[in-house]
Amino acid sequence: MHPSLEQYLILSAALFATGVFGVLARRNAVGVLIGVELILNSANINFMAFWRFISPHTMEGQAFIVIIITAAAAEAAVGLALIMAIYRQFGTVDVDEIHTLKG
Amino acid sequence: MQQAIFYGLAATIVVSAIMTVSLRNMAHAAFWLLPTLLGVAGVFLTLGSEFLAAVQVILYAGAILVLLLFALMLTHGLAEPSIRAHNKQKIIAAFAAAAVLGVLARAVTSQSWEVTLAALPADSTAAIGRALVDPRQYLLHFEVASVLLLAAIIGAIVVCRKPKES
Repeated sequence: MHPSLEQYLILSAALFATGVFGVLARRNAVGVLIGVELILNSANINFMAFWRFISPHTMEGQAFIVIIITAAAAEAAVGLALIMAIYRQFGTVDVDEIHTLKG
Repeated sequence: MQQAIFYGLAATIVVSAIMTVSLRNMAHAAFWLLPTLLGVAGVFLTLGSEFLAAVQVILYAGAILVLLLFALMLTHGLAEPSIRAHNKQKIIAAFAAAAVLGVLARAVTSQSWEVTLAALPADSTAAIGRALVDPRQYLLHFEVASVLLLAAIIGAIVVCRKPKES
């Protein structure tokens, strides 16, 4: 018996909630980025499950996932570059201690 | 059988994701991301998309994870267990995450989805390839994504560059 659409959606909801916890609770900026990656992965599971169970003949779901993975790669590159620049400026990557807008 | 595979993948994904967000040592946390990403690739396989499963392994498990590990090694506090991993909002964040999970699970189960179990296209890899370069479908999105990547490359280099000695 195949797993149902609901099971995939619940799995993706669990992954999303875990990512939300990571984004809210981590102090290390890289940890926050890891939480964002988890959230993007849960969105991908959702797109793939809807593609399979609602309209497997059109390619919307798959095309969306290709674009999301591209955006995730761009986000990771720019985000990590920003973290490196912040580390050089402030000497820390703790998001609780980076609270000034002055250079 | 399919159910057993699904539950195995789901357990891998959720357990390693929880380890990823809760471990104190950031290097261990980043390595625990690997089973999550491979599990998501497995879910893609069970849903019938071999191409995106391969993309997931190469791009996420290959490139992004290595990038995260580089960032962890170039900034300090990598393996110092004396540094607290979580901020003071830990409890509130856990409640918020549980609330999000509850709302999403309620939303999913209270719907009746109009599921079709139509057969998959014979070759979904060829279909996605054609769709991505078809001007009437996703060619524009494809080109915009490549411009986004170019902008991200240049942006990352400019932001990460050493400031000029003045």
